Amino acid sequence: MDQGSTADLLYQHHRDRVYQLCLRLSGGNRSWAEDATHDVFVRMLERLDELDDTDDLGGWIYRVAMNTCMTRLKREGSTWGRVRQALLGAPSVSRDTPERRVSLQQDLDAALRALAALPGRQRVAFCMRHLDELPQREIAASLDLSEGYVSKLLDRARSKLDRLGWEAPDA
Amino acid sequence: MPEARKDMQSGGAGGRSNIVEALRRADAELRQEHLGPEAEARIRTLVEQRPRVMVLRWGGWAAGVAVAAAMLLWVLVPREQPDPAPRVVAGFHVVGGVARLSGPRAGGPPPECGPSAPVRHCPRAGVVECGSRACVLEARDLSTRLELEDDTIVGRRRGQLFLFRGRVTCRVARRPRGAPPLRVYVSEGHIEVLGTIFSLRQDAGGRGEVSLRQGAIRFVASDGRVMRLEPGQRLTWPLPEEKGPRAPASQPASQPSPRRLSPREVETLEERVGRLRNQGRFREATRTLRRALGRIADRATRESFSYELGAILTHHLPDAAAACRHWRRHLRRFGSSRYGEEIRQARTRLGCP
Repeated sequence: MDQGSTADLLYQHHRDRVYQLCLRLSGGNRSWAEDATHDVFVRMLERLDELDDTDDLGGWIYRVAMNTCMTRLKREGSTWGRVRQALLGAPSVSRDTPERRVSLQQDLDAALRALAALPGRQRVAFCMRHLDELPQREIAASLDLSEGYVSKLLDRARSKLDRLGWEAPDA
Repeated sequence: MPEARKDMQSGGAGGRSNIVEALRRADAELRQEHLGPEAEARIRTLVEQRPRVMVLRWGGWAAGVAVAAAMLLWVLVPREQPDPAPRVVAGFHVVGGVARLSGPRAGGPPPECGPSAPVRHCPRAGVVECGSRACVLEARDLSTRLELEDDTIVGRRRGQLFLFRGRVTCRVARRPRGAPPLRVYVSEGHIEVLGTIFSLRQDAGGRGEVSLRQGAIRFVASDGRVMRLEPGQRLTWPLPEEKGPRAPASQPASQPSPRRLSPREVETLEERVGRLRNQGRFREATRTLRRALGRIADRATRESFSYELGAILTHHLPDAAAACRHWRRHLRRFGSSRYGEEIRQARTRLGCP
């Protein structure tokens, strides 16, 4: 299969998953998630030539997406608090009925407010560990961090969530 | 869903809710979300423009034929560049011909970037030139393809492009709705692009021209004059003193009254709105735009800002009625020639009467 077709197929198969991962990490900010998805596919295209097996790239794309989001969040760290405020004031996650909009807003406000309070690395590590259920070793390898540091990130995330009044699982 | 909400809303009061369970429920909702049509089109363009390189599967006599063909090419094709072309140069993907870094490799601007040709925002790095043959570059993050003629020097810094010398054809994918326009700087100002094809020429002596093939662009001169070009029109510079553009029949810039924003202030406003959008501070962005709209002298600029305000109201804020009211006002003031299709789609989506 030529590389162009591979890129097309990867895009068709993974665009929604990538977008939804970015959306989760952004706290429901659609424009942020769209930009991050764009970045993920830029990276994907840059590295496509280096890949030997293009049949099963789901895991690879997942790692690229998490790293891309982490980089963006880290870069925006200083302004994230303001972004979060804006997000909570103006959630942009729904396109449907007013009922669904209200319901979604309440759900997302409650859960994502806590998640968005975490710094970028903690947020990414927490989602990978507890929502995507990856072992710490794999998270460390994916994010190019040491296993000890991932453990520390998860501990800090748990403490912070605990302080915010949530029950969070141990690392 | 009611139990879920009840469970999640209690995060702090009385019984403590489990954050993982709450996020999983939120996750389930987010899984119903899909890329918006503009982002979808932008990324699809990115994917489709990738050069289709066939992966050669070596084996048997096919390998022999390929090797022979390669050897033949090696003999026949003149090789002017001693160094192989790198695939990415200063943020540009080289997809045709040979391109190399221009000027001092330490990042200093080329000699053209000085008082003799006052490009206002000379980049400190990211300056690229073609060899003695044409080359094709892509700024993929900007969804832009540049076809450079020989002896052409271009540059980029973040989201801005620069033409220092030579001739280039720019193909810019349509900008996402509400996104700030791409800017291409030349010696006498800059060109704002919303998604189009146009050709540019820039001489080292400060003369140049832009001709538009399709789409729409605005030329913003260094002195603040703004000229909009329609397909088929051409604009040359240096511009005549205070007499408007030489070639296109676009409207001359209005004289700013004391209460109106200066071009520099308009530029600052645009940057500020873009920053607020990027930070997700949409309400603040709409307040800023509303305050400024009445103070912008140039009609085309005002229309562009008004459209941006509508895009934010439509896509990022939950007040559909306000968005509908805005689009009605916008159409009354500016008509539908420039953003007609986008506004029609937005109004349909909002269910405006």
